[in-house]
Amino acid sequence: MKKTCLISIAILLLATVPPAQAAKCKYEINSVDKFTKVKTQKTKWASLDPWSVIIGSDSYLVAAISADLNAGSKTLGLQLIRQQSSSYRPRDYELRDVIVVPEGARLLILMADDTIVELPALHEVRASAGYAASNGQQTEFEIKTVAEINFALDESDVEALMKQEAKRIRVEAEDHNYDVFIAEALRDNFQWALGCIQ
Amino acid sequence: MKNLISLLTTASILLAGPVTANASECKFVINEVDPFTGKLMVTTAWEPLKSGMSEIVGQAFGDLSDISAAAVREGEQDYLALKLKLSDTTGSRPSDDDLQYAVSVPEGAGLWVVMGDQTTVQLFTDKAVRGITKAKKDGAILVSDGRYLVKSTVIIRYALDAAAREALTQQSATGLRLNLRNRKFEFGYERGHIDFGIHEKSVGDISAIIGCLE
Repeated sequence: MKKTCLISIAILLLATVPPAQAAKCKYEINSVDKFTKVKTQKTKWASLDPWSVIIGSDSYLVAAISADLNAGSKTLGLQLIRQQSSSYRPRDYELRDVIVVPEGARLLILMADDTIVELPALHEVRASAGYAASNGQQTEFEIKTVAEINFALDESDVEALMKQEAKRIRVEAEDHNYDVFIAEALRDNFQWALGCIQ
Repeated sequence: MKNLISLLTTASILLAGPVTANASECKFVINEVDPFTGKLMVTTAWEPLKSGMSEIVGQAFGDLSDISAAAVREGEQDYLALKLKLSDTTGSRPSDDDLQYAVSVPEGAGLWVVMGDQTTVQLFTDKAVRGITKAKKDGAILVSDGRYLVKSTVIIRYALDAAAREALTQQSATGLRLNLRNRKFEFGYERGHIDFGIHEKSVGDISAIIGCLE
């Protein structure tokens, strides 16, 4: 009984303390080049929402961010995962270029005070989908597209993103605006990620 | 054009009076000020239009199984959106190209809306669209002759200026002519159109959903 209580309290504490203070920085890459002494950091992906419905389609979207530091310059990574199901095996043309973000396309971040931080995409991204049968009869298929986009950050952007929480983002892709409402408990993840690259 | 009007006149009841939307009946999918652009964004729910009589000119299009309408406002610009569901069968397995380009609507393609007093309102698309097409061999119905059932869904958005919006809300629409482009399996591309007579139960629906934007 005591053990259960302790575990419950621990879970409660973990869930309520902001990640920037609670979670230690976690990295995909955290290294210093032995020869050049150049520091490279990339945080682990931090989720922005568990599931968003893409309005006007039968797709779902999962979004996560990471902050990157490379030779003193900072960028923001955004991962969009679009998932949909199909009652037939998807054709090749349905899998090609599902998410296309042109170079310079904007990531708009709506902050808590309704100001907007605007970041341009560093490179064009064309993400194609993969699929797998979700049942043995091969009558249901899961289609998944993962796009990873890097956005430029200058010092004023970092300052604006560190100052307050973010509540919503929009990626202006080629044919579609991807809107993500950031879950209440995850709204300080920008601060967490950017705080981890120094 | 005369043929269209006569077809639609026989299919529909003419209602010449103005139609006003009851705001409480308006259903919205989106109704908010976009926080990024500051524009008011409104999209009504799809309203299925019951068919009085439809005629598809251009054999490439198969059958029209369903048509729905919605009204859209993006800032200052209004649109009438139509969603079409088409079905067809083919004797050989459709190629990816067949499916990818099965139904398309070029930029600038026209829609004629026939009003209750037999005048027409002409609208145009502001961008090209392509239908989403799926094919399956339907074991239950089609296995005997080995034909493939092909279903397409296409959503077309027509720009509305102030004059068109007023004309469409002043009286009821009784028919539609949509210009489309299709890839007929085995026979290449074909242009054609769909004449759709609106059933008396749905006469007034287009006026009503556009009225929901006010």
